[in-house]
Amino acid sequence: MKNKVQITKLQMITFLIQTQIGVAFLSLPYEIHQIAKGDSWISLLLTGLFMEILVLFYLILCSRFPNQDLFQILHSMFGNAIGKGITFLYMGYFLFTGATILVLFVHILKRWMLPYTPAWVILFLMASVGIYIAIDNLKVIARFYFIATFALLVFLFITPVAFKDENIHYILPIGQSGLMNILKGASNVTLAWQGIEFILLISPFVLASGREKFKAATLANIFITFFYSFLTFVCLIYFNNEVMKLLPQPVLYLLKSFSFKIIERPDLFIISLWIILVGTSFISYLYGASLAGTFLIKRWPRKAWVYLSAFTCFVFALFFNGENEIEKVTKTATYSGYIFFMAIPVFLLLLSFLFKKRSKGEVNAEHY
Amino acid sequence: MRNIIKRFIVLTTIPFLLSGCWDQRLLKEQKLILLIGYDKGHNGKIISNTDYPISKGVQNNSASTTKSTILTTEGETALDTLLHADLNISEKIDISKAQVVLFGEEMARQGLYKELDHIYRNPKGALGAKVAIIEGKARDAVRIKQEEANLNGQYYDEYLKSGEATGFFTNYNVQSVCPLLLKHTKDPLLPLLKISPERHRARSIGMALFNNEKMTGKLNVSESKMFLLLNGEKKQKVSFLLNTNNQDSQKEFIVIEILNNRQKTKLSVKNEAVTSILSSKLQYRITEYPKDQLTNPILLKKLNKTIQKRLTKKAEKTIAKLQAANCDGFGIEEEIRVHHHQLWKEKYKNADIKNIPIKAKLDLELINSGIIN
Repeated sequence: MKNKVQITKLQMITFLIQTQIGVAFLSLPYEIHQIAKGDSWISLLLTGLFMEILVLFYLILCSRFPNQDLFQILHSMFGNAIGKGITFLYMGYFLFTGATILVLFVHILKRWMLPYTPAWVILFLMASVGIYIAIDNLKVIARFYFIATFALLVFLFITPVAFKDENIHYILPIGQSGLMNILKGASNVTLAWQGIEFILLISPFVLASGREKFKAATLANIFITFFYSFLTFVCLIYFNNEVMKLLPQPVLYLLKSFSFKIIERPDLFIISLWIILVGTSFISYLYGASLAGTFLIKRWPRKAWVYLSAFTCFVFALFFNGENEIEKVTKTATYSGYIFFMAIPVFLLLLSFLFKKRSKGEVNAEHY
Repeated sequence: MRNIIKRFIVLTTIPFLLSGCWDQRLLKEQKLILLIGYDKGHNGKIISNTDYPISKGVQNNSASTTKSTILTTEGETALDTLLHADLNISEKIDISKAQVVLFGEEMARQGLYKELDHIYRNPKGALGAKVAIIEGKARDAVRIKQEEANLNGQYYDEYLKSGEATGFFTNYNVQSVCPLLLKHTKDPLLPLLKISPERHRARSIGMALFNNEKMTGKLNVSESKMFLLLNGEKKQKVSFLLNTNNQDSQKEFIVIEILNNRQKTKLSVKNEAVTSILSSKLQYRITEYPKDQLTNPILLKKLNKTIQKRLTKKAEKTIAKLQAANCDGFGIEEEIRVHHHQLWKEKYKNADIKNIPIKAKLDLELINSGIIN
């Protein structure tokens, strides 16, 4: 291939970070606090450790099929019919996750910033931004993600303001909620790591050896783990147990209680940056869904699939945004995550070991 | 050419999409409320007093003056009173810029959380607003005719800030007081003010003691300072006036200023019973001593001892008052929960602070006596 789209290691790191850190992290401390209480931050570190094992599995799988993405691996393992069937399921999963992101996004935005704006306007804007970037190739997307990473750093620099009014007693004694609850909490927040499966999609395009890819993926995972744990830690020492129960978006609430000389309401400022982070996750899922689409029907260009995917997500989010439905949608997303980014890839790896399948075929970069 | 037309169409349609916003709040359509005071009304109703600025425009070449206007309304809940207030105002009411929330004493004795709930719930709520308790009615405080600031809201804001800086008050705002109102392991203390209407001034008379969200007692000013010392506040430089004569009848006054404060809360457990010791190492300087005998080292030592005795006595009195009001301002229960978790679960969960012995141990060290001896 002449114009093969390739991205660098750094772009791979930012791509993974941006895909994984999205809509969920504002409410992450709340979700995990319901189970693990003051030890939530330990739970998150444990989840990160677990995800690291998953990263290892992914990269072993990738090194066995160095030039193929997930769908091509599926194809060469299961043959045409079953491979395409699973690819179709993956497309559904990507679309569903993308729609979940939109649903949660509108939900939080309407709560915090735009209570009177109709949902469809917000959705429409988000979907059009998603289309605008997702129709470009991976390189362009990765470059955009790199720039967007600066939005993430702002979170790390602003939230420590809370240390001013902290009370470390809230998280002491460490281990108060018991090992079982810590583990249970750890298994419950995997949704926040959703997007890790994109390692399998972008790995053939990264300009690096297998070992370097593993390093990059590990770095991304470490960053995400510490980012989540840090935010949760700050929330835990600022709010106590009773208050945490009341705040579904503790990160925003934390910032709302401060005001600076220049920025009177930092929470609004932070929401605007958060929109970028949500956008990047959404774009990734559009990209993933369109990739699966082009694999299914090769005649259609990827552009068409992006439009179709965005439209599907938009329509879905338009109809499922009631208070009760959101809970169901999030739950389904978590459980489908178990299947699609844990069960299937691990199963694939085992099968490839079992049948000694590996491939050195060329990547089909026609559409990317 | 086609490209230009295409671009032109896009450029002309975008402005139509941009204009029109559902969530705009124009300043000209809002009345910003800066000060709210809640009082108890009849039959469990709530009376709220709101203060908002109106511009009087330019007069006689001077800068445009703003004046406070006050509105009093009654309702079933805190937000209800504000909705009633909305009926009386020409523009829409907006409390997102409130600087101070005041509570009448009667209201505070019933609990604060109910009245603050609507602020916590509102995405625009003013979480940074300060909270203070008024001895008497909050109405008088809102209606005060002070001359130090343009607006009454500003006046109280500055007032409370300076009170914190000089060391009369704890530094709580609507948000930071929330955990303490809800939680049972530590209790808040809030500034207590009194209004003297004939002198057009507010006066700080100490702090209000709370048990969870209900006000249960009062500390006077010097006890409030003592509380802050025992609680380990470092930023505030607190001054005390003490009588150094051992007989109370004769008076030899001294004013000291505490410069450094190293505070520790220790718990000693014997037979599953916790005794708490609040120990403070204080370094002070003498800022006034009219008797002037500070050249003699033996006398200085004696003086230091007397000061220590007097301050310890004051500390004990403060602690006794806190215990009488069942106000765990030091967070003793929290310390027990952290350091003796099992014991806390078995015995001290929601325990009355009355039943936990608290001792004060003060160590004083003279640093200097000003620029003369």
